[in-house]
Amino acid sequence: MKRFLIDIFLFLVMALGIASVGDFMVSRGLRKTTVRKFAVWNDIYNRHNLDNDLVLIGASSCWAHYSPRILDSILHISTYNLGIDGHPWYPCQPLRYNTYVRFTKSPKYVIVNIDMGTLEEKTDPYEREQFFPYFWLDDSLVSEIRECKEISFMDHYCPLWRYIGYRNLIETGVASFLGKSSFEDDGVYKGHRGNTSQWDRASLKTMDSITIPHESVVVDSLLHFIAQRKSENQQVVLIKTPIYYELQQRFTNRDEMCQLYDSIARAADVELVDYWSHPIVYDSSYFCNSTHLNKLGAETISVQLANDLLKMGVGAIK
Amino acid sequence: MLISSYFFYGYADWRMLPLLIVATLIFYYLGKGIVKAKTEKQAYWLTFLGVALGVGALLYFKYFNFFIESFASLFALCGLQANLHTFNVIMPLGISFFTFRLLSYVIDIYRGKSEPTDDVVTFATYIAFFPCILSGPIDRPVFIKQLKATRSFDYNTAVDGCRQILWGLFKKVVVADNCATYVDQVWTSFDSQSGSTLVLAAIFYLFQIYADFSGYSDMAIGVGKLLGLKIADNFKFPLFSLNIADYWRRWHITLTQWLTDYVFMPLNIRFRNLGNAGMILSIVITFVLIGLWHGANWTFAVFGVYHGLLYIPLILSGAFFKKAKMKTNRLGLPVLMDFGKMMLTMFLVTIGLIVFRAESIGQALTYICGICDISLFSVPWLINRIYYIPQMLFISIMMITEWVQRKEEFALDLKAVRYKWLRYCIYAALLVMIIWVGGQAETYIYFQF
Repeated sequence: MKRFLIDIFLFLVMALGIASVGDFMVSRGLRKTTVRKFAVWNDIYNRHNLDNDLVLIGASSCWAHYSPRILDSILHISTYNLGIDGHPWYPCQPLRYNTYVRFTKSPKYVIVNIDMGTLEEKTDPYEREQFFPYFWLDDSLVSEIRECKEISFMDHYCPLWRYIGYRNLIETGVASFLGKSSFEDDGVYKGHRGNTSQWDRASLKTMDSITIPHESVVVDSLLHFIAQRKSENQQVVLIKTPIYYELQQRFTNRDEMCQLYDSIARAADVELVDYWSHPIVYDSSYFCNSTHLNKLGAETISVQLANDLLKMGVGAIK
Repeated sequence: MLISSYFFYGYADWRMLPLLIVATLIFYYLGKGIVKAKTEKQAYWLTFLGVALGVGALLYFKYFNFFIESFASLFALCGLQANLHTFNVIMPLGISFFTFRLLSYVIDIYRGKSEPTDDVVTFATYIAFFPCILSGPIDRPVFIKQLKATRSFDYNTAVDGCRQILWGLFKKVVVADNCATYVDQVWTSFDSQSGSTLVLAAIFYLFQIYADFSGYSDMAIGVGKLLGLKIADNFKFPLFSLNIADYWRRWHITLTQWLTDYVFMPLNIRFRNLGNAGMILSIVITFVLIGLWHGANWTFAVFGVYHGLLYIPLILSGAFFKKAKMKTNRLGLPVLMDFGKMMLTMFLVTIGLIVFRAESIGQALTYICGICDISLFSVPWLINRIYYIPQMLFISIMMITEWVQRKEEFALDLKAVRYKWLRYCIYAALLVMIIWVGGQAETYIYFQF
């Protein structure tokens, strides 16, 4: 029995050794990639493209709509897009911001992008893998996401365990670690990448009528966040991001939501920029689907946003 | 062990745990009753009752709706509107496996092949033994003796068990689950796929089902070894079979042997006056039952008939009665003739598996017709080319290892490897592959049966 237990122990040591080396290679490799899921986190943890004057926070419509390159060129300040795909406001959007400011100075301006799902209370493990490469770097990140991303004890403490089932990540990470270019270099620049897909009506077909979700706890969280920013002398601006008009027509609570957004802006005493009625929303050539602008649309709305921000006194020329 | 077995079963589906316990108690007392019966006739009727209960439970839980729907279709063909209702019957997990164990218990007692046990806990453990209850192997009552016997720890057996678990895990996680990704995608749109794609998916399904089921069996046997128990072998490298009879001697051995003992042999004796025709009839009936054992669908019946008919040339030529033995050349590879036989057998098995995998006979025919198309000579569709290069490598590793080790009990039997460091390198390589491509979390195919 003793001999068997020693063999089992040796086997486990070997397995742990392999897993540790594998974890090191995969995580380190992924931290070098520009794959969309990791691009912003990598900038944050690698202290790359930081020290910005303005940051944008939001979900997929944020990172797809606003180009820091254009905002930089018009506002003459440094901007960064912290948009995080598929995540409503709570808890991941403030988490992204808070992680960002742990590594750099606080920005002077914070733009909060509001889309259909922003005020929804939703926790699911969607794209939980985006946090994996930083588990051994940042314990506080793990504790923040543990519940909403269903992070188990083994995920946290057992090397490589969390990557099981993510074959693409393992291959991408190892390739990147070995100096080979990433399989999907997404060309993300300061958190943004223009979407080159063609207009697709398919998403409209599945949505006959939509009630925009909103939860009071999420509204409170947003108001609390804005209050904190203002207490640190940061200027906050809310944006109702462009949504294709046909989809807007299917909102059952459009007026109610407009009133809610107005009341949030009033309560927080911040500017609310409304792009729901912007001419761009009536032209499908600017969209790739009903909720996301394409590259041309993103460039157009980024110019518009920059000009609107200039009018509010945001930017180098004041 | 009984508590852990019931916990394991209840964890998978607690709703049917009472049924398992009740069935166990009924058969336990039936076994005692058969021995204590005062007359032969009384023993016969008690055995008959056991068989009727076991088969009845199978028919009800597994085949009730199938029969109702089939009768309704038959009436409809005759222009009659049958007002038959189906029920939403929940099929207990592993029912096909534990029912066969229960049946063999009472039949063997009646035949005088085994003694009833006085220990209800041991009997219940035999029926619900956790490594085997969901997907076999189907151990015979002789296994009860092992459960009752005093066991002592044996280093070599325990290490062997660990190796067999590792090899089973490799087959399931690395080979089967990854083949499943491709097979499932092709089957969801098979009517629009090229002939070559359909062929590739059919071949992948052969490897998937083999790696899935034999992988599970390896793990079950490995766990048994860790507990000091010898669970019956279920696979003996069936992909190297030289003919269909050889294949069925190596594939799902415990089921084939069970049906041979309790169905084929009695039928063969009954039909012995008919000569070869009687044997063919017995085999076809046995194979229809093997097919239907897998589930309530006409595809499984056709699968059984197909395999039964494949025996005809073997019986008529006399090859059925000879044990097929592989001849190899100096390099250890099969001689050309045997290689051809192996390929032919695998071809026939693959065709049968298309029927097995299909949801209806029409679907199977469409699939097979799709293969017989000019697009058979086109390049098959691949989800991602880079993805499939390692996949081919994994299948090759499995096949080469199994070929080299085909005379051993299982493929990762490394007793002959003298150097410990080399054994550990092999374990490490398998671990790396399991971590690399594992985690698809496909359920075991045979859980549904």
